[in-house]
Amino acid sequence: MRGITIGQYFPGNSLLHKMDPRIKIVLTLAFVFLIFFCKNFWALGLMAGFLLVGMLISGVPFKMLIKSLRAILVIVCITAVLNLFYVTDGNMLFPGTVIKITDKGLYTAIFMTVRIACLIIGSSLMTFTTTPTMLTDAIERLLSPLKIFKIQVHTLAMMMTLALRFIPTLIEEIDKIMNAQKARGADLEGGNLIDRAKALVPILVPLFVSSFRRAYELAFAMECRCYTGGNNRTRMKQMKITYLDVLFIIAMSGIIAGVILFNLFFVHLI
Amino acid sequence: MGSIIEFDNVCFRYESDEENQILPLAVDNVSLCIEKGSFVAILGHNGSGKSTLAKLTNAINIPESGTVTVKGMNTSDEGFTDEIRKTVGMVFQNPDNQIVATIVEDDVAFGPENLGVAPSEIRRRVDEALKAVNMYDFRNSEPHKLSGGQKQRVAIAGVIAMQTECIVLDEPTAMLDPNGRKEVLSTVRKLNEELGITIIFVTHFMDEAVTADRVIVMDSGKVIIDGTPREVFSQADKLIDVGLDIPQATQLAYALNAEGIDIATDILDENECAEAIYKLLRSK
Repeated sequence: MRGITIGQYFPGNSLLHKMDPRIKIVLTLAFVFLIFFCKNFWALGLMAGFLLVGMLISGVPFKMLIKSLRAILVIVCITAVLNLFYVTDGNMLFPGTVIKITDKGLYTAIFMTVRIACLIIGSSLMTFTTTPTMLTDAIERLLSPLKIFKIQVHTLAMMMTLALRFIPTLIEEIDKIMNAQKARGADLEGGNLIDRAKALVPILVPLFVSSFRRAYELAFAMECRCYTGGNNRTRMKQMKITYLDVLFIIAMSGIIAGVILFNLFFVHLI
Repeated sequence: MGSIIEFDNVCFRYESDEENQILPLAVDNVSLCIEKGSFVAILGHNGSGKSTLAKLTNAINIPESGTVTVKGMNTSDEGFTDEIRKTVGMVFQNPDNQIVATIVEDDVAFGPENLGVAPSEIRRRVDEALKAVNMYDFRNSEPHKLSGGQKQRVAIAGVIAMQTECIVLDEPTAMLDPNGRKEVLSTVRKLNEELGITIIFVTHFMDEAVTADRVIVMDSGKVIIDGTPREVFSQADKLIDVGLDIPQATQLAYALNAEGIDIATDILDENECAEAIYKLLRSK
């Protein structure tokens, strides 16, 4: 299990990679919300076009982006089928037969599918072009206004960073423990579901014990490096909003305006 | 050169998990003085109190009685804790459990960030520290993709970036392969020689202690031998008594001496040993 990468960052140097991660998160959120506001294919088409431009400039191979859809393929199919059969108004496509599919049902099914696809590809585009560290950093900074409600934003962000940092370490550890238990004759693969669940116990117990020990040592090491929480901390990597980010904000505003206009003027098409 | 860390009649014991049970002293009445700019090795087998001693230097452990002072600051005084940890940095045994960030350079920046150093200054220090441990080319790597020796060097860089005057390394090579051990030792040596950083190197490998300026041997919480490597390793009996090995060359000289052959016992490495034997054979 060596050589795994955390998240799904695709290294590159495109305009999307260079964007301020805070702006990227905000714009992605705006994009996701906007998709739900699209009432017709014109508006959705505009969003899809925008997404296509984003995909092109990101330099991330289309194959990788499409792959991110695979995980939710089942959900997409179910949504499509449900819409296909449950929308009963509109004209029957096959009058006189048992197949009760209306033109409106078909339309909704396709609309939903495109909508979910845009949603997933849009958000993957963000994770493909931003490192996990930058994401947690940006989240910390975006949430910093919550400090006035006494929410420990820095602690949350530090927890996320440490979790990301220790995922590969723990995976390696699981690998080692599994091998050690196999060497002692543990049968991890055979048997029915219950047997397999039981076989996990001798793996999870040592894993938890060692994780606690790790946490303890890590806390020592952090204290030794003068860590006292988020107060008076500075950051090496500063985030700066550049003209590039302004450009993206303007583009997004244009799209928002476009979607509102299309929603208003093409009301009759769903 | 003055002293940087002073132990004055220090005793320390760990708290027991069970009530009414008092554990024996882990450090028992130790007094010593670490000279500024020196390279000190602390030797001892498991449970000798050497790691406990190391953790007393930067206020992780607070003495039960006696005082530890770092540049005149008493470690028992909480007001000095930050300043002491800024002066004395620490590197631990397991490299995985002391790296905080997912990118090498972010991890090195962690210490200075905690100290509130200005961003441009952190950048400069991080680059400098990574160059000093020869890991600059790996600055954008993910720590879990590095070897043990490389990870340990990143941890050392993290300490240097805080501009510490003294680095305490608590068995930094125990989990490394021979190559990693060499990398770490030569890095530490270079820092001591070129930057004048005081090094306290806790280890149970004899060959690592040989290169130090001073060797302190511990057993059951007490300092039993303290001197130059030559002085220490010539007392082979005492070392073997407390369960420590001695370097192979010293061992050979010692065995020859025991057989009645006139050879010095303060031999440290293979070259010296070969020379002494050669001289001995020539004189016959």
